[in-house]
Amino acid sequence: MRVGSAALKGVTGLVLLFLLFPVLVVVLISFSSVDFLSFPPPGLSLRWYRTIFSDWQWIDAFWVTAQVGALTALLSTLLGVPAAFALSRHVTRGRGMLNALVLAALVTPSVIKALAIYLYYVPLGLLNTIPGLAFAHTVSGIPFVVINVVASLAGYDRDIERAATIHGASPVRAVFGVTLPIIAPAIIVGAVFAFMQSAQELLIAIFVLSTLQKPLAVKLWEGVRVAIDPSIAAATTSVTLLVILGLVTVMLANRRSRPVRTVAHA
Amino acid sequence: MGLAAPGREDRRAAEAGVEVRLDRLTKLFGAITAVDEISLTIPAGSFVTLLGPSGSGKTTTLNLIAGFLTPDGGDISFDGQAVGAVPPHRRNIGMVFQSYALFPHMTVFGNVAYPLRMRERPGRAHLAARVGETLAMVGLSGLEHRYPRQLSGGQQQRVAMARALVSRPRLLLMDEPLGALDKKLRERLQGEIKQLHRQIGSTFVYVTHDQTEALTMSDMVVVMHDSRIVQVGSPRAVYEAPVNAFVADFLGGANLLPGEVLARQHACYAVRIPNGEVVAVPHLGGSLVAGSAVTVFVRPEDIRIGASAASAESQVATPAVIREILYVGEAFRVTAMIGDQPIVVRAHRTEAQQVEIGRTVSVAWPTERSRALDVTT
Repeated sequence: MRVGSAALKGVTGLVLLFLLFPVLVVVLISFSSVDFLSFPPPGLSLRWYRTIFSDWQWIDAFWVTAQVGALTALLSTLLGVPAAFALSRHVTRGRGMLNALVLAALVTPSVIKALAIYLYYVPLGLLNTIPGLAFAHTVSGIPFVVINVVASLAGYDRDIERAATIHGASPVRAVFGVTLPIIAPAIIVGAVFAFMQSAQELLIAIFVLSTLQKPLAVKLWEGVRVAIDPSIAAATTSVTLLVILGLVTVMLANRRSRPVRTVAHA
Repeated sequence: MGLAAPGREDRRAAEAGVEVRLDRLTKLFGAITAVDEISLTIPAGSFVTLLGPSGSGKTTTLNLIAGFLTPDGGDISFDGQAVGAVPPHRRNIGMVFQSYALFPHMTVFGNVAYPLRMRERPGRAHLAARVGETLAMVGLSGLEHRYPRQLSGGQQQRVAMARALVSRPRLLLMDEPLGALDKKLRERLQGEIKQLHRQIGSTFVYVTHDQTEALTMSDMVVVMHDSRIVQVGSPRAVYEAPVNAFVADFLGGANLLPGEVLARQHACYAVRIPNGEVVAVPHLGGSLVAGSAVTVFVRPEDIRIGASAASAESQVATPAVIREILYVGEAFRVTAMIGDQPIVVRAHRTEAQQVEIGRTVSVAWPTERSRALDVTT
């Protein structure tokens, strides 16, 4: 038993190392003191962070990504939460198909989406606008919200909402005052995922928003193609830090509302 | 609050409980009939229990009364007013759920204050007073600021009771509220719920599959089986005079002996039981004719055995062979064979000491404690 558990820990450790090693390399290089990518770096410094945070192009890229991501998270939540309620409570016929349709956004090849959106946006004047890119990213953001909220609603004791209703709350009040606060962690997780999905998306961003303003993903991509220096690593590490912050938010959200302890029959 | 203070007792008496009437109520779930044309009048201020095995339609009936489900046929009325078009949040009901369904993100205070906040827009002081008063009633004073997950099962149950009672609803619905608790706590809370009922005077509709709970707490027991009501009556009536074998068996250990009516005499049927003997069973106006199959019902605690079975007038006494003697704590459970049919006797210590496995003894019961149940109902 003990040998088996040690082996499991060993294998798990190796897999994690394999997955995280590239990230570790990038993080280390971002603190490099020299002008070129070399690993391990010959010396440590913060010069590349100074470079990107004093360069308006980089700051602008962070800002564009933040705006697009926030708008994407907001829209995904506003559309995804009602969709999740409908899917888990009201749709009885064709639920599987509707589910598949929502999730299809995740598996459609990005090039096809990018091209389609480009052609669609030209007459609408949404090209090269921040809302334009956010709308496009929302299509892929909604599934994250829907998946999380549907799962949360499946584990939600509907009697809690009924208790609110029978004790005087209108159905709308019961949902807003009781159900939504209880499933809030799932909504937050969905919104954070929608944001991160938007922040790392490259192809649609290149098509829709790349001539005037560049989101971070585009800026990184262009940086890698033009000149390889550790500023790319510094920018990437900053993004990684953002992602970690997002995940910590998610964990805190989950901890805040553990389910009510229920007493088992046995 | 100024209005409520002087005449609270009067007000409580005046609006005590609501009369609930179900008229040919039907509910279908797809092809399954969950509730099949049931009609029932629940008197104002009474404690009524819907009792039945799972799937008998009792919880569905409760959910129809609450308004969570829409009937497919029939009507529900409160004090003569049809409530079909009234949504649950306007029916003015308190309800205790099996899972308690407390709001996990609110404190005990928040949970109990919820119905008042939804229904009355009370002032701060009034709210605190009412919540405090209700928490005191269920013995939870001082726990206002705890969250449900910080409470024991019994405490959670009391919070659920307090939430259901705080706005003084005239109708209280309870769906197996004690099902998740251990036996001792359950028995204590049964007493407390009964006391709350006497104190408040609202109509209580209680759902359970536990016959002891139904018998100890109710004014009226409604036995349900297969989506229908099989018997309505006082706890004594359903326990002592069940209308059929299902009710007899569901309400506690019942001996059900197959027999044949030989004759209908002035007060009794003469019934042949499996050991070939003929015994008298009260017919109580029944109309079985000679030759009909019948089930003879008698409770284990009504049967005496061995020496104590002898003598005494108006008794049925018949020979039986002892097959098993089990010690069950406060008594012995003796199984004896009447012909090929087992009969269970709840024997006192002294009785049990007088009998041995394999011996033929006399078993006896008072004629009036037995019933002839029509096998066709």
